[in-house]
Amino acid sequence: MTALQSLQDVWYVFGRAQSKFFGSPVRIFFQLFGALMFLVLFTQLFSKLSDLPGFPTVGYLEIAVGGILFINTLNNTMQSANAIVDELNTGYLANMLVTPVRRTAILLGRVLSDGVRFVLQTTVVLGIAVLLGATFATGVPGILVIYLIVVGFGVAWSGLTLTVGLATKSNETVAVIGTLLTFPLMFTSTALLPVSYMPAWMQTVSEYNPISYMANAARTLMVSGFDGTVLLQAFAVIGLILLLTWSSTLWLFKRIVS
Amino acid sequence: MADMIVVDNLVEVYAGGTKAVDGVSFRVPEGEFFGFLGPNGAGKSTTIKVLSTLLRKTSGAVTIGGQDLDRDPDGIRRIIGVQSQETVVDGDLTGRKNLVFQGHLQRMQGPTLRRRVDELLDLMELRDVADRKAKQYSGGMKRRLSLAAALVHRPRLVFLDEPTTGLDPQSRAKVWSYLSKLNEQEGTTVFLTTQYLEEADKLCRQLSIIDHGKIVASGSPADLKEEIGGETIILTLDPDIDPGPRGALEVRLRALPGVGKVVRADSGLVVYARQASRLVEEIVTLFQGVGIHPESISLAAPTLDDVFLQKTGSRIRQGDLVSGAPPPSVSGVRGGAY
Repeated sequence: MTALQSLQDVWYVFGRAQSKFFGSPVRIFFQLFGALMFLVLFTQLFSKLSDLPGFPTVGYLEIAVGGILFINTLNNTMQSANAIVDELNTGYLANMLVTPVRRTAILLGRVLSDGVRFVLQTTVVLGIAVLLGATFATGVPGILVIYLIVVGFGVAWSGLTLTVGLATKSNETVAVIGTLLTFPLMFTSTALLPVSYMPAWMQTVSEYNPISYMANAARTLMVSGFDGTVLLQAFAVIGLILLLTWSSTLWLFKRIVS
Repeated sequence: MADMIVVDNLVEVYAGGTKAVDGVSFRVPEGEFFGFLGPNGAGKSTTIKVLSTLLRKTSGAVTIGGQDLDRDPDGIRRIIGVQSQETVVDGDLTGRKNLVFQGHLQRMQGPTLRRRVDELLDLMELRDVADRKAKQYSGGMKRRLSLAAALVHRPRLVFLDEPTTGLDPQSRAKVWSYLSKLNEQEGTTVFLTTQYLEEADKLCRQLSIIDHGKIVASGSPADLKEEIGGETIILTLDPDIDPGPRGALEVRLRALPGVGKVVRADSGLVVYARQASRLVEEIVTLFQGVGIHPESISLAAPTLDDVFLQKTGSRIRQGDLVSGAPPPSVSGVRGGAY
């Protein structure tokens, strides 16, 4: 009964976040436009890159798609944090807390709604990639795994921005830290280039960059096939980030709501 | 009737050491219309936050609807509705969706919820704008929507934190009539805070006056006014008169028969007395005796502001009563415009 109740609470909070998003054409537009922007800009800018000697036999599109999925995800993980900080500061959160709703449902429903957006933007990027001629070596099962990695990473990374948001209660701070992290992570990872094209020091950095593991996994699924080691590494990185960021998020949230 | 709220020696000390609530005790029977009257920062909102399970109390005991605040906060959350002081509505959602979501949080669903939402939209006169986003609403409409949200699950007890602050007189009158109806027709217990004397006087059957975190007086508005004496005589004085004769005047005023208290106000003195009208002539003689000319002498029924002034030594809002008093004549009307 209580487990069911908790699920129902998550569902209601999720439903509200969905209504807010889908009730706003402007938000939908910018969400999808943002997803497309990187795909188009990077694949156009670097389209001649695949002519370089030693470049993998596939085109730059196939190389870039895997990375761009996660750049989009990085850009969108601030939304839960922004929403919760707003609700904290306007008193809307207090409004929810005087009802019997499960406390964790307030967070989970929100993050679940972000999950839907991650799926949405991934669909747009993959769809456009197919239209531009990209092929998928692993077919539908591989695509499903790509979705799983994107959503898993997105939820894990949301925990980081949520931690910043709950600790500082300031959306400016969330935006500054979020943006400051996005660009270095993007350019020091293998998201946009195969690792062999990077200077030596960046190669070293990219080995510690979680985005590299995500991009490699998605790219491998697109261009070559299922690679157990690469996938295992990607999910291990997601699990580690998830554990770290969500334990701090839940700790901070419990402190605020009790 | 059973007590809906029992508060025993409630203390709330903020992290910085500020004692926002300092040993407050009171009881509110079921079905009561109860008010907390006090100026900004008196501890009204803090009390509501503690009673509505939002803020952990420092010490004291609280029972709401027979349920202990520490042991069963969820049980309490099911029977209370809360309208906070800041108007909180979700501007991205329509008025109707705001109420539906609030119902969901209270585990309502289906046709029962839909009917209740329609009913509240009608009651709050929001039916026409129900499907517009709440960010397009006027301040008064948002306030009414947030009141409706507090009522969705037909709570047995509602906490309303300054429900009419910032509303125009017309909206305020509307809210007053909803609240009276809610209390009288549905039997809902109302706990309201206000800094408006008129609001407390008009709505609340029982009242506690709170100042600096302490309850300074409790009772029905009529009892409270009765307690300080049947009538007040307001003496407006030139601020430059010598303290000597002024002191002598105060002493002699206190000695008059039936005078309960003489309180210094911003622009003179306020005398509380039974059958004050009979004293006017004697007061005029007193003035002649000490050689001071009053700028005005007027007579008024005591207001809650007088109660507040007597109990705390200050006015809730500076100066309205005396400066707004009628010109020097012996009139029987209530003094003071709030």
